[in-house]
Amino acid sequence: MAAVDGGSFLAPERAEGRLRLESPDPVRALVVRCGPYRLGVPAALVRGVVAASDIVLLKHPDLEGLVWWDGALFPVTRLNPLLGLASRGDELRGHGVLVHCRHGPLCFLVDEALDLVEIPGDSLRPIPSLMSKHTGLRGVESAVTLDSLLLIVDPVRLLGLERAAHLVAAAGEVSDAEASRRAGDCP
Amino acid sequence: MPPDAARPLGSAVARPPADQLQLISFGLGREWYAVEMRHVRGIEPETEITPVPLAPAWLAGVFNLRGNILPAVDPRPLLGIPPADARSGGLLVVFEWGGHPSALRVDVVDEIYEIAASSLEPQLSTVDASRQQLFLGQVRVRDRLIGVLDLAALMRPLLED
Repeated sequence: MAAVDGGSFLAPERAEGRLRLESPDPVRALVVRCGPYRLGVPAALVRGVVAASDIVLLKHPDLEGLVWWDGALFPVTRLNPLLGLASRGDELRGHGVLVHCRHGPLCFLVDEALDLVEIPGDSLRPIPSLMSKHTGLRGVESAVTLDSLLLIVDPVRLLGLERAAHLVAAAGEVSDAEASRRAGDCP
Repeated sequence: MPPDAARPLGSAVARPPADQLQLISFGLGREWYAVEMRHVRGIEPETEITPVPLAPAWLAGVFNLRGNILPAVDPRPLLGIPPADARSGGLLVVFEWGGHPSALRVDVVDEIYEIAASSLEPQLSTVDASRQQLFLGQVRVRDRLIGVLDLAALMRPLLED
């Protein structure tokens, strides 16, 4: 499984699990909806998808919640605010998209996980550099033509590696505190 | 050539003399605007424009033009024109500026005019100063007042670092 790092996930050099522009190989993407946006997350970055109901909501300044999946603890953050959309309060709805970055596991809450699609490699197109430069978007690097355009998003780059590291560390602290509390409860 | 004598050129577009401007005019709401034809690469029916997160209101999104992804600029917010209630059948004026192909989202394309550069009048002082800089000037053609947009000024925010 590929881990996301600070570089381009569409970097021209071949790297396992990364999309590559004008690659002859088809690539798969998890299609998600966040407000009005329909976005694709490269399947190579995705570990799994959970229902929002599986997420344990936290009253924590940085973490929306936590979710256990496949033996790992994933800190949860919402994708919508990273896209300039308003967050919808305390309620957790939709799906959690589980990914791994170099700092550890992360879960991005989206309004809906819609589909897993296969995209012909030669239908990947860069979005105009003007667009990414102006919006300041990180991690939106290409669009593809299916029935319509689909922006391909790297959620970790949208979040930023520094913040990703902070979330992973915060999840570890919460987990350690919970373990200590349980140990203290035991006679 | 007096502005009123500007003549529509239809689809036959030739390079104008240096003291002439070729303009393509288009409608936005009830108002008429134009850009210099030398930047225009074509007119396309408005296809699905995909909104891009964090884009300002005047950056409508991106669209697929024969396999190339171009930004679509909506001049309405820049010009203070309220959004259209229900958009249908709009057009995209595809142009190139600074080596960057882009498109203007307009309601309707009118005609191509050739006018004397000297016939451009300054914008009315009643036009907001921040918007005045978006115009090369205005020109009166028959009974129609057309604001001639400065694509350089329009694209500046998009090109700035």
